[in-house]
Amino acid sequence: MRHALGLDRPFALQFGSWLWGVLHFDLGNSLFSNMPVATMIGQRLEPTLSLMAVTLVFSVLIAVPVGVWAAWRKGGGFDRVTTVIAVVSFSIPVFACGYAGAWLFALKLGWLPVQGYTPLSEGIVPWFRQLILPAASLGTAYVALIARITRASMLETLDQDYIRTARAKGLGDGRILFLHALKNASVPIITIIGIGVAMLIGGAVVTESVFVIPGLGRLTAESILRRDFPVIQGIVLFFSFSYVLVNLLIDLVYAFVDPRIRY
Amino acid sequence: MTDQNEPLLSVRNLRVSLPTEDGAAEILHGIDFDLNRNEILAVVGESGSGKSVTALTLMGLLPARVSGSVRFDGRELTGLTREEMRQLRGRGIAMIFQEPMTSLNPLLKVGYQLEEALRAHERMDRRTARARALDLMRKVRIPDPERRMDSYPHHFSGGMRQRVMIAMALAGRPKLLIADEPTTALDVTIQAEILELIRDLQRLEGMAVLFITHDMGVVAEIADRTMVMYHGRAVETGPTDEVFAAPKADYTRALLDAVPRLGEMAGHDGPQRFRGLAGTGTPVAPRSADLKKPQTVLDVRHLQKRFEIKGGIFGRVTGRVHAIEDVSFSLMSGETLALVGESGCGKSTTGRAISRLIEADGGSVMLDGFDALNVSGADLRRMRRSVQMIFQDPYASLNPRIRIGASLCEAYLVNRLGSPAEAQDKAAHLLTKVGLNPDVARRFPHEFSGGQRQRIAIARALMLDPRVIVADEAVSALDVSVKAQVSNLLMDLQEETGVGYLFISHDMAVVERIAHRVAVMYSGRIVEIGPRAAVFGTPSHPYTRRLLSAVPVPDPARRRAAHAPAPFETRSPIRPPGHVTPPLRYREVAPGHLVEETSMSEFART
Amino acid sequence: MAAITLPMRRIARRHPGLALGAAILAALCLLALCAPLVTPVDPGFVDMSQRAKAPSWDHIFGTDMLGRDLFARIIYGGRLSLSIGVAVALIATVAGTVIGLVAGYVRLADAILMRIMDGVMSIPSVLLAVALMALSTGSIGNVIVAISISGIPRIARLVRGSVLSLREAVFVEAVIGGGVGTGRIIFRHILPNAAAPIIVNATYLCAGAMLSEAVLCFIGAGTPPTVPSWGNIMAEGRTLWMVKPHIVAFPALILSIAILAVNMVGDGLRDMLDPRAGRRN
Repeated sequence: MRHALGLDRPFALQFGSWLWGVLHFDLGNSLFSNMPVATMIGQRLEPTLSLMAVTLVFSVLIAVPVGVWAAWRKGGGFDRVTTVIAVVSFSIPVFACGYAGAWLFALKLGWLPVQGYTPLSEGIVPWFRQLILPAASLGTAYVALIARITRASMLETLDQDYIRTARAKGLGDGRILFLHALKNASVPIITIIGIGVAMLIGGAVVTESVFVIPGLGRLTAESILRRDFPVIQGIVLFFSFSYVLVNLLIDLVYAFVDPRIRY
Repeated sequence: MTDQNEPLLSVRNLRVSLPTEDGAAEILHGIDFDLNRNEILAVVGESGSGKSVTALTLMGLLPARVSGSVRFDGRELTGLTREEMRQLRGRGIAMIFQEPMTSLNPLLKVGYQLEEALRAHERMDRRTARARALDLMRKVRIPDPERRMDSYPHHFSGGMRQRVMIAMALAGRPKLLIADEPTTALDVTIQAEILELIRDLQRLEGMAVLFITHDMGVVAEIADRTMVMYHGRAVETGPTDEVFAAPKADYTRALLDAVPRLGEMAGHDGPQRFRGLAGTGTPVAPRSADLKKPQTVLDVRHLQKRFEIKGGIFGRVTGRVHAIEDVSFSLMSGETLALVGESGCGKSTTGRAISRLIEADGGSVMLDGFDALNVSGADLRRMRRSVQMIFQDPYASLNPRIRIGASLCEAYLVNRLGSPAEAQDKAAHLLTKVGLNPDVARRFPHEFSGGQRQRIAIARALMLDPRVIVADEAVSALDVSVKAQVSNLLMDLQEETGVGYLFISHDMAVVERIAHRVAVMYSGRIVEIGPRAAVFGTPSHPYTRRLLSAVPVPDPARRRAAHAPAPFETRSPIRPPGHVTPPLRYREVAPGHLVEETSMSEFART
Repeated sequence: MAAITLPMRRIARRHPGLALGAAILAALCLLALCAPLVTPVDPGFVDMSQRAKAPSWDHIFGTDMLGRDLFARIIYGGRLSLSIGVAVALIATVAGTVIGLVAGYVRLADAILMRIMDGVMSIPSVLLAVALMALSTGSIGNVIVAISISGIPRIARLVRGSVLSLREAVFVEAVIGGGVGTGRIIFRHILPNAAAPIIVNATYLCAGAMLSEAVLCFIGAGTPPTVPSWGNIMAEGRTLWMVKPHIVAFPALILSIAILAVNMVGDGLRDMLDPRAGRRN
């Protein structure tokens, strides 16, 4: 049995032949179902992508304005309250958020579905309704992270000489804040959005288990229990590749924002 | 509407407090002054005098508590709302700042930033705004404005950026222009151009200018009237001629005594101490026996350093910065050789290459008997003892976490020059010698002022009994009076120990006082070298002449006649990879006074 | 390090978050250390008659599926969770500092080490730990190593950056000019001045490690259930969360509080050690 699966070969050799396969877009087969790993990943892709896309979009939409406003009114009531909320929500583990949210909004209040996933093909509204709770729990820490960086980056930018110049010109607050400051502050913000995707990937594994979403995260957890190495390897490789790709794209975005950066 | 004879700006009993960690601190303790229409008023003072706070308060750019009265153009400014203040900024009062490199938004095109300033106060379409912006760029004499409208700030040099800032300030046709140290960060030749421009535009536009500076030379050059500030108070206000000729306040007198005046050493051969303070302008006369027969302690031959510029994805070498090009000179014990030039000319790189903080590419350096560029290991450590450095920024040159005493003794002990007790004795002795109490050894750097830290850095350099001290802009960052004191200290120490100084500086007036010989650097090369009296008295290279004539002299009687120099862009020292430099040719115009001839043609047009 | 010797009361006034976080953390550590004094109950005592009971006077946090007292398990569980946090912070910080120093000082090593660090960083940290755990057995030591590895690159990059900029600092050049050797420069001049951000990041690593441990337990790749940790107590209760939420809720709450406390200490230290907070004046 072990021989047939190649498990008795030295680890380096196993890894080498797996890597060889990867270079030919062959991730191997599952030890459990004998299905090609690539096919399994393809089947489980939609829920994970949906969850992460919704989380990412809404997190950025919430976090950036909050961070900008907190920096503009530094030391004010809004700033102090959001700073406390940010450190708290950054500290709550994803599963704690997930279970608490599901218990309150699904079990007790019955406003939202408890668990499961509705494919996008069955309509945007049911798809979205089902994603609200998972995305909210996945996004809690991510929003806090982006808001904190946005605030810090804005504070630093608002301290720059060219902001003083803009004020000396007599420009209005809105123009100073959103054109002069936010654009200059955006490189660290964009960077953290990209780096934070790692957090989303790790969080997705947990969130999908909490909400029983049949995505890649749940497949990871299932495969660990079955000790299905080729699948785990394949998922780790797939996620890492996606993560690197996202951050490469972000590097290209820099050049649009900052004329001093050239590739 | 408003009375044209009434002052444009009238400040009465202005008090300003700024928030700090422990409550508010009062920075301005009630100042009064008037600024008339069509007038340039200089506000001069040393750091901490409150001159910049005054300017920023007038603009409403500080989170400060303000009391007193500020009347501008018939209107009281204290108590205006944020929005009223915003309306006033740019249109009534405009401002330019000290740091042209960071004062423009790096992500927006220069033309856009100008158009934005125009449209902030006046309704106009983009085409009109663009045409007006072009006019402004022409007005501040930016060459090729059509093309440069669409460039980003990082394509502009410091001087050009300051021109853009001025253009932007003119956009709202202000009645008052506040210029906060607008030329301090610029090279002296660029400074002369910008001062000229501000003066011309002031006349042309009929503005009043509030000119803030620490430089008495600039004051004498530009101001109709002068206000001297000290510790948040105005100690003296009057017409510039009178303030310079017959200062009333003790502080003004002390300040003027400490200021070096370029040209006042004409007729003297050797260095002389600054007057006024402790010494009385006595000439520096070598005392140490060693100096009766001076010997060569440093001999630099054909020194060369290039920095590679890598570009593209593969990091190919796309060009080289020729930072030092065939530099040769020598230094005797007890002598000061000044290495002067503007930023980027290679003077600091030369100092760092000699003390082996960077590795030179070619040439030779003989330092106190060591082949300095080729020694290594134990010999390198011995060589390092012979050459010590003093740096420009006194705040950065001491480790903030280590006590003064330990900083002083460290190198002495590491080099096993003596026991810890001997090290402490020597440190105490040197601290006394540089004018500090030996007890300071137990304290940390943050407890000292800039001038005191520079004294500590000098004591540290002397711990190893070096033969040569490379002083890289060692007094440039200090306030006028402190600068004079530290310069005097350096001369005292040379008299006593016979140390040779390689005195790297851009400050021609200090160099005139302190140096025996002068080497002028331009674009990596020495273009003129010789005895100080000869180089300053009969400058023979066009660049030296240009440099000397650009230095503002703190004497309103000697204000230069107005002439509008064309903007001069310093030659870039970047060359393509295969570039071979033609050999330099020196001509001896007088004994020991050499001039480089191949570089003269570059200055033909000026 | 004058900042460290400031009186405690002044720190508490200027950095209330730091003081509160440190107090909570101290309380949690004390409870874990003195667990036998806090509760006489054996955390491993199984009572099948008392399975999954809701909180009551006998069991203030209720019991788990095997009838074990949850309060006792959580108090004892703090020992493992907090130790993992501290151990990971120490290992990753020391290893990252060494790598960062070498990379900052040796050109050749820099290229190699930093490419490896980039490689490690390209794998999302939880997945890296999951993958490493899948390859090994679920022992406590392996969990610590797996979480540490993903924490190393951040510290290494930070230290390398500090080394590269401090090497060029004027005061370091002055010391080099005095003939002082590289070793002394690193340990006396560079490391002490680079310490503040390293310490701050070590606290964040500690918080992240406690979280990662719980995540690993949650997906079945964590510490063995024989020794209680906040993570594995919760993982055991998760199948019953809809009907018996207290089994998940209490360990999750304590874990959140602990992570929050560590993060508050980190933020407080960051503000306190920030060089821009007026060292010059």
